Amino acid sequence: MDYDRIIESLSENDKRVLLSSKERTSIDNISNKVPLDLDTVRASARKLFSLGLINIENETTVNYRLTEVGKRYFKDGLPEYRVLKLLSSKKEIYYSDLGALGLDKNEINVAVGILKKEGVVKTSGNKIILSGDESKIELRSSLLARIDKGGDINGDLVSEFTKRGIIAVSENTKEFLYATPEGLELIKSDKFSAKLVDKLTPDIIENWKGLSFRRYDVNSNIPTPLIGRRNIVKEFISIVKENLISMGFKEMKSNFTESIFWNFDVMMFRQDHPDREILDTFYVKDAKAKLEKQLIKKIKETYENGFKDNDFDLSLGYRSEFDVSSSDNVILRAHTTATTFRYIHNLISKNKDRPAKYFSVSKVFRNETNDPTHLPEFYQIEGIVYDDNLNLRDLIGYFYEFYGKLGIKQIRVKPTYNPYTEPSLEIQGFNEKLKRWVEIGNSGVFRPETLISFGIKRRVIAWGFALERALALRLNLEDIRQLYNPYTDLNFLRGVKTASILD
Amino acid sequence: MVMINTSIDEMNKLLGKKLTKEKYSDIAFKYGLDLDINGDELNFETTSDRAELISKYGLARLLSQLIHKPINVKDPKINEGISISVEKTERPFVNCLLLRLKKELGERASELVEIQNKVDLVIGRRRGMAAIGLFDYDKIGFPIVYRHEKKENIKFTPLSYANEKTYDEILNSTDAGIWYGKISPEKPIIWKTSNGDIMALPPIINADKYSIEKNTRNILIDITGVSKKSVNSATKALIFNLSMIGDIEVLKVKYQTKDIDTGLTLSPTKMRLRHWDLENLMGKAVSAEEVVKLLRYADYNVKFEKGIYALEIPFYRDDVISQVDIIDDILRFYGVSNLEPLPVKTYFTGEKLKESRLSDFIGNRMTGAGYQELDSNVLTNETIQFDNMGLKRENYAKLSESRSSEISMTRRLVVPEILRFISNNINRKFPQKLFDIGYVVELDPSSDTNFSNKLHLAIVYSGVDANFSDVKAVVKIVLSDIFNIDEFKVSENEDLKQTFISGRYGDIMYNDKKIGVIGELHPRVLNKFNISFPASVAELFLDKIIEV
Repeated sequence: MDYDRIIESLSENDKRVLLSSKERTSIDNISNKVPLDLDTVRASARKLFSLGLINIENETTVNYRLTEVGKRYFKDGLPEYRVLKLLSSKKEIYYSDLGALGLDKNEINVAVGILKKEGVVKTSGNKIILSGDESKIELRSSLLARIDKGGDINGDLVSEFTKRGIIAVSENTKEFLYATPEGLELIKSDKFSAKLVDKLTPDIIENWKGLSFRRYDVNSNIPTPLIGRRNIVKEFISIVKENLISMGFKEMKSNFTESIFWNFDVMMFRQDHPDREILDTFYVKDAKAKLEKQLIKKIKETYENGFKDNDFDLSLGYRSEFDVSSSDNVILRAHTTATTFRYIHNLISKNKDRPAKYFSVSKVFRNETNDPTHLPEFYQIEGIVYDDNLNLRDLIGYFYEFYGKLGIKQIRVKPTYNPYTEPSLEIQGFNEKLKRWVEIGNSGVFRPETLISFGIKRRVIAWGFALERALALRLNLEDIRQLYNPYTDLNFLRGVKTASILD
Repeated sequence: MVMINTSIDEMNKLLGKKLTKEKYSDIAFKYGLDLDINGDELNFETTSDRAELISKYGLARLLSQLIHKPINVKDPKINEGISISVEKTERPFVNCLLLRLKKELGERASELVEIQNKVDLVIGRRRGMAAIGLFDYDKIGFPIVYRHEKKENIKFTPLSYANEKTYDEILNSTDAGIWYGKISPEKPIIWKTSNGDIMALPPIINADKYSIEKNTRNILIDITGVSKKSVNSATKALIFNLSMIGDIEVLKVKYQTKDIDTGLTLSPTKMRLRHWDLENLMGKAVSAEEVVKLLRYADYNVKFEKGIYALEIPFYRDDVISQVDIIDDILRFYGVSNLEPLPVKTYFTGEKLKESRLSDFIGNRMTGAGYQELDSNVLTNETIQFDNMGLKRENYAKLSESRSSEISMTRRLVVPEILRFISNNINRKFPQKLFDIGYVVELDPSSDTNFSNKLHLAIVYSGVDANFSDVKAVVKIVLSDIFNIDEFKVSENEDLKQTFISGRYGDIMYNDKKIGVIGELHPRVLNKFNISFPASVAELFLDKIIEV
């Protein structure tokens, strides 16, 4: 072992920790004795360990403490103890007598269950009868006292009390350090006590001649500090928005709360059809939306009877009654197409001669239970173009441009069905990692029925996709819930690589 | 929407072809059917618009069109010789079909039951709109009548039961009764035969005596319901599929009153389409001859004259109501992969919303101060938003019938969601310095939906050394740097005394306007979130600041 070199690489703190480890000592003790903060002692310990100068041993101790419930039981007595006390004076009571104890139903059931299990009582119908030795229950109460004093406990009751939320268990791991023979040898060396310069000070910088500097292990693994970071989902959104803006799209917004009218009716979702159920919807209680009567009338007319252009039937309508009785229910929007139609109404229909491009990247809500591929709320990306003579090849052109900017070059389209676009195209991209085609978006030309009520006869083309799914694919996440706040691991956010969304 | 599970052998037999796996995959992709191939199994999934694609038979008819060898079936006949009368009831609409099989039903009985289930589920919306029943025609004594019956007069042996049951017993102790009891009519409806037998109790269950069996040759099908459209749609879907296994007769029904006549018609709807409109939507020139050919494969009757297609839409295609639907059909036969992308034209100036730009700048400032950004949830519950925080449950959008026990409202504040995040990450390294910029939902009578989105910035600093001043310092930076607000006051607000430690919190006031809240959380709140370090928080109401 090249002791000189090693000594040159030790900081004064490292030396102090090594000196304190001549005998087996806990890190806490070293930290107090030297004194140095715990993190510094740990860092030195790791370094000394990697140099073979000390050994590190972990010792785990288990601690118990009373929870809020536990403290209450300690004060008032365990439910089983209280039931027993009531019983021992009367020998026989009814379940209804237990009401006087002020316990909730669950607590009573647990208490009686335990007393039965321990053979202290029997039940018969609504009656509880004293039938056995009470000492076991006394034992339980004394256990609470022991935990309260911080004493050790063990046995079956620990897991029972933990399950009942009476006690909380925590583990505490302590690290102990002791010098190896090499470490002890090193301490004896003359050079060990020689002073090496660690940090440069203004004084040293002025008078540096003749001083030796401590050697660093320039290849050592250093921990990366916690830094402030943007959220990965929002970074991806930012890229998407930047692409769309560069393609001339303006951002839209509307409220999360929406009416059935703007979420379904304006898009001619069929009322006698499962289409509306596909978008499982959250309803807001006790709220009614204000609607424009004129617009409802027009939409009802189109839905029921279609419309003509000269003598051509452009649409026959659904030829069944359009029921407006639930149109004013307030819901959480199930898709951002609701936002799009508000813009069609408020802006496009008022400037019919002017082409327009709009987008949104915003949250939508579905009343589903979440699983690895479904979230109750997620970001939907939606882009629409309004112009004269737009055709399907224009629409496909937009996919190539947009997805190309996201690094997806191999694209194909497949006919599909959407309630409010016709024709509709599913967009698939070839995923190099999975070696297969995956759905990357949905699109179509808005049905003329959906536009005529706004006086619009030109076409609107649109496409959209769910952002989290696309991002999960990029990040190789198997469970999309990692991107959903209540399930997100902070270490994931701190460690995820932005590089994976940059190409 | 509907899964149709079949195999390559079975489908090849129906088509009279020897198509390979790859061929099936190609056809399905081109037409836009979802197909999952597993060994020799073909699992098709159809979309909700195509009510007639409900079994392998209907699917085979479509596939035969796609390979340009359409399977020919006999058109249904109208049979006026069987006496069926329908009285006015709560489920007023009724159609009847007779399916004459070429040979005994045999093992196909289970296929028919499967078709029945799918029609009941998808078109009938779980029998609510329409329901169908299958009977052995040769066991029935005609005339039969569909009418109300008093509950006490109803007693028969229901399908697959051994003993007679009363009306109440059927509703309370049979699976079908329990399942469909909810939609059973106020006054029960029965089918009654000439000898006084009850043949069925629509829409719940049929009598066992008249059920179809292996040796059945002729099947009576009743389609009953509350929606005329669904009843007719189900009838057409059945004709489309069952024409593959036998000859169909549409039975003439005597309706008691005119208003319950379903008006079922199998004559095609006529529409016209300009060739120019087709090309204009495709963005490409195609020959009319080719289009006519494709339309004929798709079972349309078509004549092309002077640039206009005169079309007859097949009777079973309820989904075709518009010119664009016809163009979509043409495209699916033509192949959308033949459409080359056009370069993006008409560039405009794009722009972000003001809020988005603001969020970007604030986010950069916050990360500069060492904070990790979250993307927190909007859906939450009262425990997290109010109870744990020591706040009153008021002024929020409450949701009904949520499928998740964790979701019952939209958030009013963002900070509680960050605290929830910390409590789920309690074993991760502290300090946890977190922030989020996002919308909350606020009661707003001026909004057409009574609520509106408000943009908030939430800041939480939790760790051994976290204190009020740290958070106040970043609030100061953001207000000064992004909003040019250099003077703000923190004034104590009694409403928040359950949330924060007294003397360490308050409303953030600017020009006498409340623009946020700041404070050090009370241990009571920390305990509720299981956080064992101090935490100081702030929530800025960005909309209010912009207004100022």
